[in-house]
Order: sequence, then structure tokens, then C-alpha cells
Amino acid sequence: MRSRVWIVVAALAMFSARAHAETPGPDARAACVAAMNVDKAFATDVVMNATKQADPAVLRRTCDVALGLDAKYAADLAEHAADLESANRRLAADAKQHETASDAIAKNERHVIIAYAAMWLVAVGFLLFLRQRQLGLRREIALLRRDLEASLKENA
Amino acid sequence: MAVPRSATDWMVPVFGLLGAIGLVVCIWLIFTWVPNDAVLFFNQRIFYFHVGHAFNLFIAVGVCGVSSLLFLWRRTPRWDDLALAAAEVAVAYGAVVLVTGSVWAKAAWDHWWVWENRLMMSLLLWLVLVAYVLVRRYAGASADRLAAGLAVFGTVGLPFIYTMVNKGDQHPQAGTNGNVATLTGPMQIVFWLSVATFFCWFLALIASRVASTRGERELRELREQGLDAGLLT
Repeated sequence: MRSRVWIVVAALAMFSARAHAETPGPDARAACVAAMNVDKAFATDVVMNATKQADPAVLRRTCDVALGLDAKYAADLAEHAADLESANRRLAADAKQHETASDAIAKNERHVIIAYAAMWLVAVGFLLFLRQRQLGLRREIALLRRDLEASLKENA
Repeated sequence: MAVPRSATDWMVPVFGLLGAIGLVVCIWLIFTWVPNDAVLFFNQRIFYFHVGHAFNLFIAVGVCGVSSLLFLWRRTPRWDDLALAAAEVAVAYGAVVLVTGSVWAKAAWDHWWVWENRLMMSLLLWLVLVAYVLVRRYAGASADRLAAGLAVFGTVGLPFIYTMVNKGDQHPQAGTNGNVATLTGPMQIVFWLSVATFFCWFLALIASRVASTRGERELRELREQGLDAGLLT
């Protein structure tokens, strides 16, 4: 009988501990606030984490309220937006520059082809010149042979 | 008894084959392996053939000049044959250098031609070589000596053209960092391969032209002998 009572007490203790872990009590909250006040980095982490999990609509409303309350914050935000726009414009200009460079490279390709074609044309022209000289030489040989044969016939 | 074969007989097929293989390999490497130049981009690929031909143009002009000088000194026809063959090859190589250089200048600097020292000297050298070939063709009996003098005169200009690139003229440099020695690994390898390839072509063409010129001269001499002997009319 005594052992059964201990089992029930242990089970109740475990259930209580679990429930306590899921919903932090006022003490845990106070401890967390104290820790955030002492450690700014921890506070920032907590805020960032909460922001990530927050509803965007709630964030927007919070931001609107903050903008209404703090004129400097509003000005900073506007400046930041302007910076973003300027960065986007720079990116677009960079993209345009890359496009122009790509066109230039394509244009270069045309010139490279022209240069190589010109080289081949000169090579073909020179080979035709050599061929013409060879044909001239053959004609000369044929002429000499014919003259010699005619001369030999006359002498015979 | 076997007829002794002239060096030109084996030089034409051997160096022609080497040149053909080198040309295929060069073109493949230029368009697949060599990276784009950082400043000139794709058009820098003209450089490999343009300067490759220029190097061999210098060799051809040097051979023509020295052979002409030896011909004027010794009056041996074989030096004259070599000078004429080198001059004709130099005209072809010079044409490639001038045309590819002009196209490259248009691609890189948007000018077909700039009247600067090195270009002017190169054009003058080419015109002297053209004059050499024309003199050989049309100047009659003393054409060989006249042309030899012209070749020696043209060769004197070579060192000036070569050194002008370092004398602050406006001519484009070989690579991003200046001369050939500063080219990056693959660029330098392909450049020297292209120089070797066009040198093989130079040797094959020279051998072919020397054989042809020698044949023409021997034929001319045989005809004269035939006329002297009364065999020909």
C-alpha cells in the first residue's frame, strides 16, 4: 500500500514539472528580463528571435507605431530605403555594363573571324601564285621539249 | 646509280605536314584552351597568328637580306634562289601581318590604321619586299643584282621595327603586361607553338620556291645552251 502511494506521488511530481516547463511562471519571466537587462547581446538575440516568429502584420503595426513616436527613426528608415533604391540602380547599371561588355565580346568574335579569314585568303592566294609558277615551269619544259624534238627531226 | 635527292625534296612534305598538324593544334588550342585576355577579351586571339607571322616575317627578311648579301659578294646563283624564295614568302607573311594587325586594331581600338612609327616601318618594309619581287620580274638582265641591293636595304630596317615596340610608340603590346615574356602560361605556350608552326610553313614554302626557282633557272640556262649549240631556234 505504501509503495503505491509513492508511485502516485512520483507521477504527480513529474506531471507538475512538465507543466511548469511548458508555461514559464512569473519567476522565470522575471529572471529572463533581468538577464536581458544585464546582457545586451542576449537581449538582442531574444528580440531577433521573437521578431522572426512574429506575424508580419503585427510587425508592420508595431513599426507604424514606432514611426509615429520617433521622427528620427522615420527619417533613418526613409534614408535606408533611399540607399536600397540607389543600390538597386547601381545593380541595374552593372547589369547594363555586363550586357555592353558581352556585346563587345560578340563584336570581337566577328573581327577575330575576319582576321583568320584574311589569313586564309592570303594563304590561298600565295598557294595559287605557287601553282601558277609551277604551271609556267611545266609550260616552259614542254616548249623546250617540243623545240628539241623538232630540232632533232630536222637534223635527222 | 640513284640520283642524289636535294634537301628541298624532303623538306616540303616533312615541314608541310608538321605545319598542317601545328596549324590544326594551334587553332584548337586558341579557341578552346587559351583564356580570354583581361583587357582585350576575345580579340586578343588574333595575336597568336598576327605576331606568329611577324616573327617569321623577320626571319624571312633576314634570310633574304643575308642571302642577297652573299649573292652580291660571291655571285653564286643558289644564294639568289634562296633570296628570291624568302622574299616571296616574306611578302605573303607581311600581308598577313598587316591585314590581321589592321583588323585587330579595329576590334580593340576602333581604328583600322594609326600612323605610328612601327606600323609605318612595317608597311615600308613590306613595300620594299613587293618592290623586290617586281624588280625580279620586270627589271630585265640585271634584276638579280638590283633586287639584292634592295633586299639588303630593306633588311637594315628590321632592328628598328623590332625595338620600336619598347620605345614608347603607340603600337599595341603583346599581352596585358607588355611583352611576350609576361604572357600567362597557356598564352605563352600557344604563342610559341604558333611561331613554330609558321616557321615550319616558312621552311616548306622556302624549299618549294627554291626548287621551283632553281628549276626555272636551269631551264633558262638549258635553253640558252640549246640556242648556242644551234639546236633551238
